[in-house]
Amino acid sequence: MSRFEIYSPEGLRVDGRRWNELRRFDCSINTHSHAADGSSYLEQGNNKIITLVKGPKEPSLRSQMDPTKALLKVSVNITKFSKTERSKTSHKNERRVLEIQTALTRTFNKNVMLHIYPRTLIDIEIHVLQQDGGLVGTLINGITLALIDAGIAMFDYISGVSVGLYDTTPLLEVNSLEENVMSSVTLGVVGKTEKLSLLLVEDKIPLDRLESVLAIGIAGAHRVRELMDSELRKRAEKRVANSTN
Amino acid sequence: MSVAAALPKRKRLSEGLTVTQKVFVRSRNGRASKIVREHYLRKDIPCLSRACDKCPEIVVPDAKSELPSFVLSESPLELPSIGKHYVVLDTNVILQAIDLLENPDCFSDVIVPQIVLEEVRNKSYPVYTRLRSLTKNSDDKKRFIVFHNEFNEFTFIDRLPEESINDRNDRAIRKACQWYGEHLEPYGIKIVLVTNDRLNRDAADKSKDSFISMSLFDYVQALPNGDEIKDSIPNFEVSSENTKDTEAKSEFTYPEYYSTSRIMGGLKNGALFQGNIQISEYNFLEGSINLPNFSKPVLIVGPKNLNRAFNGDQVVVELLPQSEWKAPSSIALDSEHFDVNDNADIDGDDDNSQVVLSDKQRKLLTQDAILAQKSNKVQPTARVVSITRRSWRQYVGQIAPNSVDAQNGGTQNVFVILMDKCLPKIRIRTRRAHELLSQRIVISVDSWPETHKYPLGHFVRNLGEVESVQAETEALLLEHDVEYRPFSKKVLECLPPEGHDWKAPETLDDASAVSKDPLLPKRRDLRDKLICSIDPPGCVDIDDALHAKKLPNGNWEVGVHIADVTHFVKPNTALDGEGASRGTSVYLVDKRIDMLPMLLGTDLCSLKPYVDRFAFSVLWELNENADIVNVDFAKSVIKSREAFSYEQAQLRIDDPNQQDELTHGMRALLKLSIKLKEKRINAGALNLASPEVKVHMDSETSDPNEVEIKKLLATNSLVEEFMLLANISVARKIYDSFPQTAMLRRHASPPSTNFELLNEMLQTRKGMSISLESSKALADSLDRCIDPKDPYFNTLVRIMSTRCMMAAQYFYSGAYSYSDFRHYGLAVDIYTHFTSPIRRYCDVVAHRQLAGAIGYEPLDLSHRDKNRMDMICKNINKKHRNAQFAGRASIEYYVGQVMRNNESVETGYVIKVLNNGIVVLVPKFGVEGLIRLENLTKDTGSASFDEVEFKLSFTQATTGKRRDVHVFEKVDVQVRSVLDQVTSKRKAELLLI
Amino acid sequence: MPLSIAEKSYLYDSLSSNAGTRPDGRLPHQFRPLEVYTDFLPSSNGSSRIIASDSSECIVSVKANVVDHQVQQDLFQVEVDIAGQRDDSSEVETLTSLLNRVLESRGSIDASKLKLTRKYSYKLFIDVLVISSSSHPVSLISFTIFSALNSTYLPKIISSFDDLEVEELPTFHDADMVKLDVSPPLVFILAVVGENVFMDAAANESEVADNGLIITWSGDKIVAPIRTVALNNSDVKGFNPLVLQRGIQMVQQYAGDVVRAFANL
Repeated sequence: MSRFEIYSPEGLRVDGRRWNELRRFDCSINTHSHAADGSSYLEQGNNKIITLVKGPKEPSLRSQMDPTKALLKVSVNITKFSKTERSKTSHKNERRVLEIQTALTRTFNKNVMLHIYPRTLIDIEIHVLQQDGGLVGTLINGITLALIDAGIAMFDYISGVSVGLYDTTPLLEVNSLEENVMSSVTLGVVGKTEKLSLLLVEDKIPLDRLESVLAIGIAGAHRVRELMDSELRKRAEKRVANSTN
Repeated sequence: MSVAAALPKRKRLSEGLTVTQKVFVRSRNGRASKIVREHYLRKDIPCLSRACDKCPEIVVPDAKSELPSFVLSESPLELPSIGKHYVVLDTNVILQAIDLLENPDCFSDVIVPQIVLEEVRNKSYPVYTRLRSLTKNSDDKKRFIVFHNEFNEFTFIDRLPEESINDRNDRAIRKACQWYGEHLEPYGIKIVLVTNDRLNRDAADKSKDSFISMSLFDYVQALPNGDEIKDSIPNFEVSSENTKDTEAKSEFTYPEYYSTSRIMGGLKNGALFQGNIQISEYNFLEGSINLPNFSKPVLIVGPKNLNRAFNGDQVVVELLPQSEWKAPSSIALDSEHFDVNDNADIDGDDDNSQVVLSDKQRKLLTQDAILAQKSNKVQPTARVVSITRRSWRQYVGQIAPNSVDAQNGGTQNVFVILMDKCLPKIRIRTRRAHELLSQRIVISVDSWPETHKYPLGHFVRNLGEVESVQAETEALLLEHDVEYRPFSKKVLECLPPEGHDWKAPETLDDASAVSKDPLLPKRRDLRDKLICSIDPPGCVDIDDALHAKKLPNGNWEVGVHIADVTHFVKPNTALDGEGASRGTSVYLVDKRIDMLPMLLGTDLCSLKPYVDRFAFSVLWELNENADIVNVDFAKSVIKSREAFSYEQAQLRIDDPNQQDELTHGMRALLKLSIKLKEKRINAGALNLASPEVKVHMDSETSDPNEVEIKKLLATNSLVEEFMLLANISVARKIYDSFPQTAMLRRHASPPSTNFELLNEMLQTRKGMSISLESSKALADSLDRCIDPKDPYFNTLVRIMSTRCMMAAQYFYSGAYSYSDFRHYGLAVDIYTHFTSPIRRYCDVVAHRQLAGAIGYEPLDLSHRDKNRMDMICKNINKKHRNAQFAGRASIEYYVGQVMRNNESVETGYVIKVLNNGIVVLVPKFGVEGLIRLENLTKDTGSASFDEVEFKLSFTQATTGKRRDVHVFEKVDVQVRSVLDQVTSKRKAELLLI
Repeated sequence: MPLSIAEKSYLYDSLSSNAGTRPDGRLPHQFRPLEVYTDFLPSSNGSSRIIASDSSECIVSVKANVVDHQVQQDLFQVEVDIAGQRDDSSEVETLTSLLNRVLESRGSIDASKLKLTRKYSYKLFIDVLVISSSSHPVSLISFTIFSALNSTYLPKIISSFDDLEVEELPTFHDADMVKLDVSPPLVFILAVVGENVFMDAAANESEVADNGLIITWSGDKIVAPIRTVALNNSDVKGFNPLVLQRGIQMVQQYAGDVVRAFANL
């Protein structure tokens, strides 16, 4: 039994948020300008990730070359120290990590204009320094920011967010405490639309509840998009100001 | 670079939220993990006072778009010394005085700070649930609210350097009080912090006078009805009464408990052990504890070694040095007769100067102990060094008359003797000692300081005169933790609004009915089947009905139809919650405590004859040999043609004149059931026995006037066989669909040690033995235990074997591997309970899972989640056990009442021989009792006890002749019912003739 | 970006000249600017992140676990992860074993500071993540480990110290942390060009270096191991023993300043 009231009758969650509130969202781009073509640093709650985008570049292996479009490669490095208890083994070849990589590759394959970069490789490298639930959503946002920083053409923002279902109440953006005691889904939402480019359901969710879960998820993802958008615009304005001076 | 070197203490977010981090260390199993959690602070947490005109503007709706309701009254209780006020409670007051808080005559308009709620939750989950239910039903006169001070930006505080968590939390409570005090000042409402912590009160007094702080005692005294309530104040430290409190504070002190780190270290390296202590039924100063690796329970003897443990407490023990190991005592001793005048001490339990052993030596000791257990002579003993979890609850008892000072009219300390004879007497302070004499009272245990010989408690309420039906019934319900209060309004609101006028729809495709119940077309119309029910006479909650029909291919179509309770009891409703928490109906001699409201149990769900009812049907195709050819499950609508009693059904079947189709069906059912039973017995199903009796009540006066042993008819087993078959079929189906969470029932095979004593007795006395190789072998060996001179002997052995068996238990399929699903007693590989959903919650869950399995409706998450299923199973196992005990206790009480009127000489059997007495079972009344040595002979000194032969010899008082009594011996005993002068308990007293 | 032969030759000449002129105008012992962040991973006991001006970046987390020191002798465990390299690549393995040896070497860290009771000690897991590096990373890693250990706080024990005879499991204060008081060793890497040695060689300097020197500094003196390391794949040469002496002198002269700089963070 949980030591905490996961969702109190007064409508507050373990960390003090209400059901429809996002966690703290701090992001910045171009954090590793020498090391990569595009980069971002993102803190979403206590998730902390660094995303590096290298490319479009000539692939080192011929097998990675496609004459019609660019090849997108995502590698996720979950550090051993990212959770409360240090893990003894490396996460690199874990099935779950491979699945996350596949899901992320598929999500962005559809949204990056790969056809305008034929014969190239776009290499996305993510380092997870700390994690506290809803990781896949955070990874999506980190990638979106780094791709934009790299100047790679995309159709729209993809914003990611997780939603848990506690009894009958959907809870937006679960942290690890919440994630451990309830089923949750992760959404990747395209821009301001209601289109999903990713819907990851890792547990059982009753079908009749899915609609309310998706509704709050999409609203939350739109809010994440706004937060990313305003950070990018702020950054762009600063650049413009610097270059005109 | 944007990475902050260190996070700012508090960061304002755009949504008007502030975020900070909570950092703490969790030390568990000797590890120290640094835990970091985000913590959001907000401004929209209302005070929930109806007087306030600011807070209604800041509230926000929850996920169901509901706004919080403001429950604290604008004109709360006004006291002359304080004025109008709300009460804030601290953690210890709630933990200690939850009974008092629930009292409708005091404590209304109460604020529970979140930090207090969390502390309560971590210290005692049951108290937390009670507190939460006070805050949930906050609309009534209690008006309790939870104030989330930890999430409120204005009341959250950071821990200061060097400040302990407890001090910080106390400061947080004061901060919340201060905020409330200032917030409500314009409305003339004061805040009173009730805390027994002097330091906390001092700190509160030092702060500004935004609120008042008082001890619980002072606050209660200030109440207008304070004098009546004062008795219910929990009894903790005697700081206020450290005067001449000689009766309790003798030079006697218990050993101190070990520190947590010592306990954890010792448990880890095997020097200490943890388990649940069981106090002997016959000797309240002897306990035993089951430990892993030990083949038998380890003994704990004497008050100092028991060290304040209650029966059922989870404790940590360490083994005593070999020199103190003992043979298991064969003395009977109960708290009521022991130490009545409270001056004696137990010998053999001197304050042995504790030998300090290193952990290495302790581990060696463990080896010796395990070896010693095999030898059976000297048993290893242990002592309690810490209590992990108390089993304390409310207890029923009565004041020991000789502890009352007749001269003293004021407050005094008295002893309360509890009904549970495994427990010590409790010391309470009361002003009403004289008034409460010879009343059954409820008390609560508060503490057991090491300087006190007996635990301290306080008076909760009075049940009424000892021996009155009402007080005794309530007492036994309380003692067995049976919820017997009427169903709450919220629960009753879940019932169909039509009430008794509810009708099953005429046709299953009726548009208006379908619009109300879209699942209706999925039901099967079985109203054409010739269905009947067979139950005990006078049964009103008819769970099950049956039918059988010859199929063209010569096979039989057999249907078992079970009341469709889950049509009315939907998951996650208040009704479902109440049913889940009650777990089972409880049957007392004169009373039934329902699991579900009457409307459902005896009407809408009950498969009454001549009306349409919804049912859940199991339909088989059986061949002549009663083998299953096919099985099908369906929600249905049926119409029972007749409701028979067992006897009526038997008469109808036996009557050759009855040649209608219904009777043919019944005969077929009987025939098939006999085949089923035969197959079951061949597979090794056990036929055990319990000394079950039935009490006949005088229909006019409802006084019990006769006791009868229950008898069985063929039709009993007709119904039983098909119910078993249905349960097995359903178990297979739901396990197939929900391999991890199917609700099942298992019965483990008994460990051979359970039968050791019985086998030894049989071997020595009768040259017989019980085989434990398989259930079949057990069943066969039981059949062989026959004494040609005494037909009852076989039943006696069965009764005694039953006591050696394991209890069957409910579980979810993920908890055990398939091979452990086995039901030993029924000799089947998988089993569940499906056939009595009106009176058992397990069946409700099985119904829902079956409905999910056949695609009738999706299964609720709570029955697909292992943790939730685990909680459900634990609860219903407990409730089931309690219900059985309550039922037996009720019979025992009434049997006592019957015997009170007619004293008689009856046949009894010796089932246990002790050093100082014998235990005799009287089959006619189903009672057993201890006959003490002093009641057997005048000369107790000359009595001798032969352990090997199970023999007690003594000079009989009446005849003056030497007499030997062996176990299994058939004896004549005089049975009469006596009222024990010390305990005011009526019980059967047996005298050997 | 590979250098042309002409560029290499020019660089080599200027670095090996008597004056030892560096392309960016630094003195031989001078470091390029560093950015150091500590304690940015709250769920670790200590953490540090150093970014060099050429965007080489290293992150170190320190997490503590309680172990029975009668069973486990090693109270430090360094694991290195270099982005883009397999865990079993030779560079990663060499670095891991070097750093472990540096920390375990006698007299480098006072293990008694990690002792909790007579039976139990803390064991520190030091995880290194090199996000990017343009020259040999060992020096950067060692600096990051140094500042991470310097910002490490460990839970405060509240159970008693003596637990050998009658065993107790250590229990800890629920919030208080104690600063770890150790002075970890620093590893310096020097580029050898001709007769000259240079601290903190940039990528282009490493490219033309004849050899590299790894010198470890602990407490207030040079300690083992000292070894050479190839800084590039093409131009590794032997060197005059005098150069080794110079290198050691340079470290002796300036290491104290580096230690003080980090310790005062």
